[in-house]
Amino acid sequence: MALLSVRELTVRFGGLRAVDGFSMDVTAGRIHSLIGPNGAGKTSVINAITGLYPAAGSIRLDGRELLGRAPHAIAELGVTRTFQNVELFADMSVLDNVLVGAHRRLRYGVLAGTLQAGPRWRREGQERRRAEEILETVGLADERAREAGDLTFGKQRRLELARALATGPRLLLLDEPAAGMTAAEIGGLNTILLALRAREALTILLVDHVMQVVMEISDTITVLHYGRKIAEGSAERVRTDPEVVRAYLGEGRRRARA
Amino acid sequence: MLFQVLASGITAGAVYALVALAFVLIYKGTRVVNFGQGEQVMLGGYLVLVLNTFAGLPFWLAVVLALGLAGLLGVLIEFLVLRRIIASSPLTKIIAMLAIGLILREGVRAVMGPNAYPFPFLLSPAPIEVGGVLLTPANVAIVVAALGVMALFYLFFRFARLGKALRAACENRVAASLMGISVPFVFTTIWVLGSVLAGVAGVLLAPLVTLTPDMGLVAIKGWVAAVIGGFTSLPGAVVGGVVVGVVETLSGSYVSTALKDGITYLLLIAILIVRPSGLLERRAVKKV
Amino acid sequence: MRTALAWGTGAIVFAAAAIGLSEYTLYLVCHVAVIAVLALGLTVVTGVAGQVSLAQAAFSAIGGYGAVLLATRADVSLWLSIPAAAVFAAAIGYLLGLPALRLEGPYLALVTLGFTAIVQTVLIHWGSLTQGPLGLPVPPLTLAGRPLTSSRDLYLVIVPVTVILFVATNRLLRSRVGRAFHALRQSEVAAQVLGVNPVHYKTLAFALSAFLGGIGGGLHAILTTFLSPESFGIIESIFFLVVIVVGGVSAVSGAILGSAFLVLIPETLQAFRQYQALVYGCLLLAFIVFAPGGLAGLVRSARLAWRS
Repeated sequence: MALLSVRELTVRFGGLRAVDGFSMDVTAGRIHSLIGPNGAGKTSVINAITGLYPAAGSIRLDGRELLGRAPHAIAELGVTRTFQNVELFADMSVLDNVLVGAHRRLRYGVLAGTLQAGPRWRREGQERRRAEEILETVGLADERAREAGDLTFGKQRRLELARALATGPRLLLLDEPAAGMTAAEIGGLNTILLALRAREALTILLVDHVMQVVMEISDTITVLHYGRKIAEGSAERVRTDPEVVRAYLGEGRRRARA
Repeated sequence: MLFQVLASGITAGAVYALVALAFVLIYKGTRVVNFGQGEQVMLGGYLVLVLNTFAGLPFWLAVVLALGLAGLLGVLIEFLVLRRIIASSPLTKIIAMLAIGLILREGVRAVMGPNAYPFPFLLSPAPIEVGGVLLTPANVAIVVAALGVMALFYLFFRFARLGKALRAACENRVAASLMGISVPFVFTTIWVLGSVLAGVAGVLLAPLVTLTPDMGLVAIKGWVAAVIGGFTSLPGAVVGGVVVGVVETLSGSYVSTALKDGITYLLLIAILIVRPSGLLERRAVKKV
Repeated sequence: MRTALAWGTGAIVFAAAAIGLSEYTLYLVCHVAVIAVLALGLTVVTGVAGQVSLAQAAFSAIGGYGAVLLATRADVSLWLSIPAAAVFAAAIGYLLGLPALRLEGPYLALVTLGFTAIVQTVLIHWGSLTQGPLGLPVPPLTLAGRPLTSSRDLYLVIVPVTVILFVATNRLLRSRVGRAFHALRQSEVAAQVLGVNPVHYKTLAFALSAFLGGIGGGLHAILTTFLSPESFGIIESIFFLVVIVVGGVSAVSGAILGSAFLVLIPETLQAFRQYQALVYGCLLLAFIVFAPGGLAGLVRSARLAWRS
C-alpha cells in the first residue's frame, strides 16, 4: 500500500520547471531511492514534500494532502528529513540536537517547562532515555555531551539522522546521506538503514548519487531526468533500462566536452 | 498652505532620500544593515563645523575635506570591523553597527559637548516668494544639492565602468568574482560611497535642524524611507525619502507637531504589516 | 545534595549581606539585579531565539508606567500592579511579534526601534496620563502598612524576585521550549522540519522578553522612585544589548555578569563616568568582534583551560 503518493508534481523557479508533472508512489515499510543526473530535480521533490518549496500537483500522505501545509505541520504528520549540506544546531550538545527532534512527541508548554512538573512534563525523562538509545543506534552515544559543531563531518551526518529519527517519523526523507562519506562509513550507514526498516517498519525515501547505497539497499528506484520520471523498478531493472543508460551517458559526454 | 507644507516636506524628504540611498547601497552591496548610519550623518555635519568654524577653513574646502574624512571612516569601518566578522550572523553585524553608532555619537558628545551648535551655512534663511509660496534659498539649495548628488550617483552606476562593475557585484557576487572583480574591493568601495553619501546628507541636514550628537536619530526616517522604497531599490529609496518628508510635514501641520515623529514610525509599522511581501525583495527560496 | 548545599550557602550569603552591607552597597546590588532582569528578557528573545529586539526599554516603560498608573489611578497595590503591567507588556510584545516575525533581521530590528520611539513619544505627549517630560513619582511599595523605602527593605524584595526569575528562565531554556528557541536561532529550516512552529515560538520569545522587561521595569520604578520618559528611549534599548553582549548573549548567566560589570565599573572608576556611554560603545564593539561569547564565554573557556 502506498504511504506517500505524489501526483503531477511541478516545481517552478521563475520560467524553469525543476520538476515537471512528476508522479510516484512510495510503499510503506520500503526503502525507495530517487536518483538522476545532477540537476534532475531530486532535491526539489524532497523540498516540495517537506513544504519548503511551493509546488503544484498533489502530495498525499495516507490520503492527506501535504501541499499547502507549513513545514512544521508536515512534520507533525510524521514526515521529516535530513539535509544535503547538514543543518545541525551547531552550538547545542549532541543530545540536545536529538531532543529537538523529540519536540513533537513532547507536548508541554511554558508553565510545565518552568515548573518542571505536571502530567505532560513526565515524558521529558522518557524522551531523554529514548534519545540516548537513538544515539546508541547511530553510534554516537559517547559524543552526547559534545557540541554538534565539533563533530567530524561523518558523525554530523549520523547525528542528523538520529535527530530525524527522534521525531518518530512515518516517512523519513534522506537527501544525499552518503555524500562525503568514506566507503567504510557508507557500509555502516547501509547497516543502520536496513536495521531501521526491519525494526521500526520505517519508510525511507532517499536521494543519492552514491550507487553503493542506492543499489545495495533500495527496494525500489525511481529515476528522474530533467524533472520527469524516466524509469522505475528494482535495482536490476533500472540499471539496464536503455533510457536511464542514455541519460547518464549523455551527462558523461557533456561533462567530457566541458 | 498646502504648497507651503509640500515645499518644506520635499526639502526634508530630499535629505531623507540621501540617508536612505546610503543605507540601501550598503545593504544591497554588502548585506550589512548599517545601524550606525545616523551617526555617520551627524559626524558629517560636525566635521564641516569644526573645519569651518574652529579651524577657519573656507566653507567649501571644509565640506570637501569633511567628505574625504567621511569616506575614510567608511574604509576604517569596513577594514577594522566588518572584515573580522564577515562570516558571523546578521545579528552580530547589526550589533557591531549599533556599537559603531554608539561610539561615534558618544565620541562627538565627549569632544564637542552635548550642546547644539548653529551650522555655518552660506545662504540666507530669509524667504523669498515664488508664486505664492515662500521659499528659502537655503532650502532650495539643499534640494538642488541633493538632486545633484542623486543624479551623479545615477550616472555613476549607469555609465561609469566602476559603477557598472559594482552593480554587477551587487546582483551576483559569484559571477562578479569570476569576471575578475575583487569582492573585498567592492565592499570597500561601497562603504566609501555610502559613507560619503551619509556625510553629504549630514551637511545638508545640519542647516535644517540644530547640530547635536543625537542628530543621528534622523536615520530612522531614512530607514523608513528605505522600507517604503523596497529596501534594495535605489530609486525606491529616493521616492521613499520624499514620501516620508511629505507625510511628516503634513502630519506636523494638520495633526500635531508633537506627534509627527510618532506618525512616521506608525507608517513604518503599518507598511510592514500591510505589505511586507510587496516591500521585501522577491523572497528567494532558501536552498537546502 | 550539591544543589541543596548551593542553595543553603546562597541563603546565608543573602542574609549576611542584608545585615552587613551598607545602604549604598545594597542599592547597587538591587540596581544590578534590576538591570539583569531587564537584560534577561533580551537574552531570551535575542540571545537565545535570535530575534533582534530594540524594544526592551519600551517594555520596561510599559511595566514601570503601567504599574505606577494602576497603583495611583486605580488604587491597585504595587504587589499586584507590577505583575499585571508585566502581563500587559507581554500581550503587547506578542502582538508586536506577530507581524514583525514574518519578516527577517533588519525589518524586525526596525519595527522594534519604531515601537520604542512610539512608546517614548506617547509618554512625552500624553501629559494628562503620564505628566509628560515632568515625570511621574513612584509611590513606595508597602508591606503590612509599612512603606519599604530603604535599599535594605527593597533588597529583601528585589533580590529574591530576581533569583526566582533567573531560576525559572534557566529551567525554561533547558526545556522543550528553550530548545526550540535555540534551534530556531541556529537553523530555522531544520527546526521547522522537526516540527517546531517558527511563528509560535518567535512570538512566544517576544512575549517572554516583554514580560521580563515589564517586571524589570516595575522593579526599576520602585528602586529609583521616579519615572521619566527620557530614560526609555532607543539608546536605553541599545544599552540592554550592551549588557547581554558583554555578559554573553545566549547564557542566562550572561545577563547577570553583564549587568554587574556595566553597573559596577563606572561606580569603581569615577574618572570614567563622564565617558560612560562612550566606554559602553567600545565594550560592545570589542566584545562582539573579539569575544562574541561575552564574559560567560570567557569564564567557560578559562574553566576548560584550567581543567586540561
